[in-house]
Amino acid sequence: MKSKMKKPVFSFSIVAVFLIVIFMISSGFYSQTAEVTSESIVAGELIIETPSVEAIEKNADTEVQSENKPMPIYGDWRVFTMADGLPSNKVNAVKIDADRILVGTDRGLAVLENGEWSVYTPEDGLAHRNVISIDVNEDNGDVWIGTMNGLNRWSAGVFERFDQFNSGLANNVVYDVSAGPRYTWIATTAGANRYDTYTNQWKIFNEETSPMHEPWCYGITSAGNKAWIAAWGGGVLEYNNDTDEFRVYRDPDGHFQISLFPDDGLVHDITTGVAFDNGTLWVSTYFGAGRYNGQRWWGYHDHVSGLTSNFINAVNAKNSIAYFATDNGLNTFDGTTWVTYNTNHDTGKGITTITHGDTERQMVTDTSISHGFIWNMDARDDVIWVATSMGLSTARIVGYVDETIL
Amino acid sequence: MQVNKHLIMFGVICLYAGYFSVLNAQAPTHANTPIEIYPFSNFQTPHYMFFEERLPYLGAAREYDYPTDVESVKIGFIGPLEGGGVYYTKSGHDMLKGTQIAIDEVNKAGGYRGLPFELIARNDIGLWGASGDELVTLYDMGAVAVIGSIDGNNSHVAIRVALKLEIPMVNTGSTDPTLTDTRIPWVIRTNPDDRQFNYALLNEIYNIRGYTRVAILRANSRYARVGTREFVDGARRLGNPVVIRQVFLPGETDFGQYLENIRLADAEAVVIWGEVDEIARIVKQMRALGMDQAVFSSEKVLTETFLELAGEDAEGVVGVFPYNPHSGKPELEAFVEKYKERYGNAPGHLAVLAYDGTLLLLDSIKKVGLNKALIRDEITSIEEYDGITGRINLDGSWNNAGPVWLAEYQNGELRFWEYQWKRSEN
Repeated sequence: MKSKMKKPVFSFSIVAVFLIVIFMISSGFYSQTAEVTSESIVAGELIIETPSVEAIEKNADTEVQSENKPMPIYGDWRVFTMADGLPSNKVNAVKIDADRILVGTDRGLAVLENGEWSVYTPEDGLAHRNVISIDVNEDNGDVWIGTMNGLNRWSAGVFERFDQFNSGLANNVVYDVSAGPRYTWIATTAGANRYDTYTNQWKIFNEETSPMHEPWCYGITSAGNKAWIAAWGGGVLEYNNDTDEFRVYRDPDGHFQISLFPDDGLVHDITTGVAFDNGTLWVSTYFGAGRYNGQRWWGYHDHVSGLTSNFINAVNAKNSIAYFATDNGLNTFDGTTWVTYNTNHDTGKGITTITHGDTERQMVTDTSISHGFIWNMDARDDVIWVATSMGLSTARIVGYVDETIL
Repeated sequence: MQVNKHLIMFGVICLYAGYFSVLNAQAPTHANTPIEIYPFSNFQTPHYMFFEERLPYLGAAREYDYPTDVESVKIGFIGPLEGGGVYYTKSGHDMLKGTQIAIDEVNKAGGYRGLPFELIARNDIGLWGASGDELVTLYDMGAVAVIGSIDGNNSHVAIRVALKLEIPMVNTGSTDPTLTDTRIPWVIRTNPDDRQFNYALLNEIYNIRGYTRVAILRANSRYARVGTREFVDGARRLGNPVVIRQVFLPGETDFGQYLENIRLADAEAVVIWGEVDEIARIVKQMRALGMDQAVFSSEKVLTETFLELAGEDAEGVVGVFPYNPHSGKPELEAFVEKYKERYGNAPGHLAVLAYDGTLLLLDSIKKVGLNKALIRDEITSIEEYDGITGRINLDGSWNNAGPVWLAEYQNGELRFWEYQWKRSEN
């Protein structure tokens, strides 16, 4: 009788345990503990084991080092606003042009030369007051200016205007411009251009004339015989001037809502900027950053690297260092070490954060970048200029990352 | 005592179930995607899932000076108003009329602190990127926010310009699923998109009606390509890949060869994506050829235009719709009456959707003032809005994640029902 009494209790317990397990699985318990939803368990399918993201990124960092150049730390920040002569505090673009600084704002082009500010507006020939990109042809000194309503070539004191009606410009909204010795490359909201300054010929690249999945071009850069286009929604296109051929880099998983694997290729198709330096292609997106050395890709997200935000407006690269303009600070990265700059809006103090592997060191500085929302930046020698949502900032190299700092 | 232990055990199980049900009931991730058709859900957990949280705007635009000494509060509008196909421009004018009624109503009730709202409408049909130029124009004219547009291409161009200009936008008419996937923190969409429509069709076709062999016949356009993508992916994830995909060119009127290919593929059902006249013509040619496959399509088949063009062949056609026009909601009926009185005909769905989106925007402006960043903050903080179309649920990408409705022509009448995902038994 006793055993007969126990048997149903045992059976019920098994059923109960089974039900609990079923509830745990079907309700996503495992996914909660794994931090990400694991639908594959629900679907009862095989999960492929992969190394952790952290492990992969750590390996990547040790595999590919920068060229052992010390990672600079910028400091001694100085801020310029309307009180100093800027036409607006909203600064979209900045370019170092020898001894002068060219600044694009939403109310005109400002130029800092010999300590004095000059401002140029549509009355002077500027295509539109909202200047969003600037580059300089270093061979002849011509300044190329992208605005919300056309492109300017500023040469010998004269603003020459290019638009959809008087030239081959793909669209009047010019997000980025890259001035090479012969070709000027232009990224517009509806296609990219290559303008041959020797022959005055325009080439238009869009979804009909190139393998551009979407023609909404946001960033562009050129070096040597190549140009790279950041096509929003279409990844990155690499164009070879010698062969007139494209090579396309896309996010391998093909979905905007996820990144399937780390380091599997371009982090996302919604690209916002490209920079090429010393054999490395750097890419900014609104979903993280990417690096390509011609052989493999690395992806960087804010939860597993020193990157302070996945929302990146632009990227620049000089001397093996990438500069990312994020909505949450200026980020610099040499492939190994991140140094980021932000401001404490309450105290006005600067925050410099150094991240190297698992080590993070934060320093509070008396001077600060003017705002954490960065639109653009340019660096040369030991100086950096930064266009922010609230003012223009500049700093100089005050030290380098070494073991004593870390 | 033994019974009590059983009860306790049962209670624990119930608590467990309840607890994890609550966890699962938390805000949908992206687009309320059913787990069975989430990308790679049968293969691998993504190492990063975006849109889990709404992106904050960290810029300084809240601190900018915005003019307050204005005589009116300018609201921009971009849409297809002139120069396109007749059905396309009709859509634009429907949207404009719905927007205008909303603005007039709010002005009648006092506008913005005594100032009237002023609608400035611009046409976005033109060369690639026309909407970008128009948005710049609206910005230069002093618009504090913009409504629009319908076309996916034009809407994409516009929202990127909105990001740089830092001007809030409410999209009430584009069904392009990728629009809000761009993560621009200045844009919301108040109408459900083709992703939601695709989910509803996948559910109806595979989970409810049990078809396994489905064909797609679509236009060779970005609208139709993007508009059916989720269906193609979802069908594959449900274990029933689309058996044949046929793409017709703009202007084609004879679909015989495509239909013959579909017939040879032994399809049980056909999903058609294109403009309303194209869909109607295809349905008529299908029936004339003796093809009795079930037909499924977009909201475009649930319109008077489709019924006029397809006639009796509309019978049995199933479409998806952004709201239930037969809901009997008093506010919806009042709007329909007002529209009829003013324009002499019943409103198209784009007019109704525009009315909702415009009221949401104007309510926000009335609440926070003319600072564009604060208007942005307000519209992007909304998770649920009760419009005349019903509940508008904005997900992590500020996209309307449903609910949506399906409808079928039965005996010449439309029967509507709400889409609810039915979990696959497999």
